[in-house]
Amino acid sequence: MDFFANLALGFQISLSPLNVMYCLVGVAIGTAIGVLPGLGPAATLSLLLPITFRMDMTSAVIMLAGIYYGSLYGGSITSILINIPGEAASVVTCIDGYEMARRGRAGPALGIAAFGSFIAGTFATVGLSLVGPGLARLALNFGPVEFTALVVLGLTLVTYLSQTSVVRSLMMAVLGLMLSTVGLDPIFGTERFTFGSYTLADGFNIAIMAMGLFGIAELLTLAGKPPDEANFARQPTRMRELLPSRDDWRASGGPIARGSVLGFLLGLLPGGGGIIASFASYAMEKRLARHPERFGRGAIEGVAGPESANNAGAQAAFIPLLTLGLPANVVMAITMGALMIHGVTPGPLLLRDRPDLFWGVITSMYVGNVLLLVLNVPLIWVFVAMLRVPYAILSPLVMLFCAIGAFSLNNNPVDVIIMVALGVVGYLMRKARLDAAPLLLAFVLGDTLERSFRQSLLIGQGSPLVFLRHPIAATLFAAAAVLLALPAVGALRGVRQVAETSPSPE
Amino acid sequence: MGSRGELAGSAAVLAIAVLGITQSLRFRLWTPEGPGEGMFPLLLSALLAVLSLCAVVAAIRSPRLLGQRESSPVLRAKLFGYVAALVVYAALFSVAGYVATTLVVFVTVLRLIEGLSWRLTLAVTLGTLILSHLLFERLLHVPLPHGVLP
Repeated sequence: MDFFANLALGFQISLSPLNVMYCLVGVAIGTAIGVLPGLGPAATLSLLLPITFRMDMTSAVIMLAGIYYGSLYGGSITSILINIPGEAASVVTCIDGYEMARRGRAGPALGIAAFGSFIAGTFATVGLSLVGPGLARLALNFGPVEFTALVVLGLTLVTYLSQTSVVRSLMMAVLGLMLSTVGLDPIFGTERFTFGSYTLADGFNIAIMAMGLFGIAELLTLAGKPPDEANFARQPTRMRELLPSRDDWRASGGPIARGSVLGFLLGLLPGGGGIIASFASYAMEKRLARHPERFGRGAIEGVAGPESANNAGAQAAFIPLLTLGLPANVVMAITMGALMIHGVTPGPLLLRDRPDLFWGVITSMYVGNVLLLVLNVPLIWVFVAMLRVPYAILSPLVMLFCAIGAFSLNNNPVDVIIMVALGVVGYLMRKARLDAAPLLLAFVLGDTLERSFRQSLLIGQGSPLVFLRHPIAATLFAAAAVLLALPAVGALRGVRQVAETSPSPE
Repeated sequence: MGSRGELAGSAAVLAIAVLGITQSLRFRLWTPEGPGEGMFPLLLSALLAVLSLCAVVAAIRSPRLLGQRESSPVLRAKLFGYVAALVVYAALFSVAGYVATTLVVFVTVLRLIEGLSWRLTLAVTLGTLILSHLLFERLLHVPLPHGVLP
C-alpha cells in the first residue's frame, strides 16, 4: 500500500542519525526559546535561518519544525510557572495552568501539558499522514466570507474564557480588535490611530502586549501583596506531586482527545486556526464540564485541552504549507522562505516531485514528539524547582527578561517603554476586573478578521447579506448566535428559579 | 476595588470607544475599491460604545458600589517602588545600556525594596549580568544596548 511505502520512506530519512540530531537540536532550542519571554519562534527561526543555508534541505526543515513545536511547549512552561505566555496560543494555558501552580500543582500542569502535547502531536501526525493532503484541499473552500464567520465564532468563544460577565468579556474582545487596527491599514496602507508615532505605525506587538498585560501586571499585583502571599506559585512538597495523578489523567483524557481533533481540523485552515483551536478547546471543556465554576481556579482540563489543541494545530499547519504553498502563520512563512532559498516551491507538486522531503518532514514530527517528551518530562522537577526562588529574587529577573525580550523584537527602546506602560495598564485592568485574555486573543485575530470582512463586503458589493448566501459562513454565524444566546438563556432561567436572591446577569 | 473599579474601568473603555468613533470618521468609510480604512474601526468603536455603556450601567446599578473596602490591603510603598524601578528600566535601558541599568534596578529592588543583604544582592546582580551576557549576547547574538560602556 502506498501509504506504508511512503511512511517507510519518510522514516528512513527522519531516523537517520544526522536528522535525529537536527530534530533534537531543534526541539531543545525551541523549548529554551519558548521559556524566554519575547523571543518567540518567529524571531528564533529568523535568527537561525542563515545556518540552514548550508544544510541539507530536509534536515533544515526538520530542525526548523522542531524549533517551532519545541517553542510551543516552552511557551507553556512560563505560562504555568510565572503567568507569562510564550506566544498567543499559550494565553489560554495561563488561565488554569498558573492557577494550578499557585495551588502547588505546577508539576501536574507541566506534566499534562507535555503528555497532552505528545498525544495530540502524535494524533495530528498520524492524521496528516492519512488524510492531510485531501483535507487541505477541502480547506481551500474557506474564502474570506467563511473566514470572517470562523473568526466571529472564535471570538464568541472568548466569553467562556473569562470569569467576568458576558458583556465585559465581549467588551474586552472588541477592545482587542480595536487595538489591532492601530498601525497601517492592511489594504490601503493608510496610517490609523498612530497619532504621529513611527513606533505605532507598525502596530502593537503581540509579544509586548503579552509580557506587559500578563507578566509585568502579575509582577505588580504580587508587589502589592504582603510578603507571605507574594509568590508566583507554591512549591510542591512531595515528589509524587510532580506528575499528574490517576485522577488528573481521568479528568484529562477526554479534553486531550477532543483538543487533538479540534486542533488538527482548525490547524489545517490557512490563517492561524491553531490559535482559535486553543480557546475553542477551553470553551468546549468548560461547556461540557459538570462543574464549570472550577475553570479559572486551576482545573486541569483547562490545561489539557488547549495544550493538546495548540500542538495538534501547530503540526497540522504544515499541511497547507507543503501541499498548497499557503503559510498558515509567520513561522510557516519563514519555513516556506527556507524551502524557497533551497530552490523548492511548496505546493501541490511537492508531494509528487519531492516525496522524500514531504514524508521526511511529516515522519520527523513523530520523532520530534518523542524527543520532546523524553527531553521535558525528566526536567519537570527542574522547572518546578525554579519556584523555590523567592519572589524578591525572581521579580527583577522577570523585569530583565521582559525588557530584553521587548527590546530584541525590533531593537527599539520604545518597545520597552510600551511594555512597561502596558504592564501598569494591565495592573489597573485587574483592579477594574477587566480580563486581559479576551483582549489579547481578539487582538491576534483582528488583522485576519478585518481583511476577510472587507474582502467579503467587496465580494458582496457592499451588502452584508453576502454572509448569509454562503452556507458554511451562515452555519458558523448561526453557531456563534447560539453560543452567545446560551449564557443569556441560562441566566434568565436562574433568575426565574431564584428570582428574589439571584443577581442580574450583568 | 470591586464595583468602583468596574465602573472606572468601563467608563475608561467608553471614553476609548468615543475617541475611536471620532477618529474613525476622519477616514474614508467606502471607496470605489470597496470598504475604506475607516469602516472596520468605526463599526468596532460603535459596538464597543454599546458594550461599555451596558457595563457602566451594570456597575452603577450594582449594590456593592457604596461603602465597600479593599478585600486585601495593598502595600502601596512597595508597589510604587516596583513601578518606579520599571520606569527607570524603560527610560535608561538604551541610554545607559542594559548592564548599568540592570545594576541600578537590581540593587534598588533587591536591597532597598526587598531588604536583602548586600552580599546576596551583589551575588544575584553579578550572576544575572554574567549569565544574561553569555545567553543573549554570546549564544543568541541579541544586540543589546551598552550605552557608555564598551
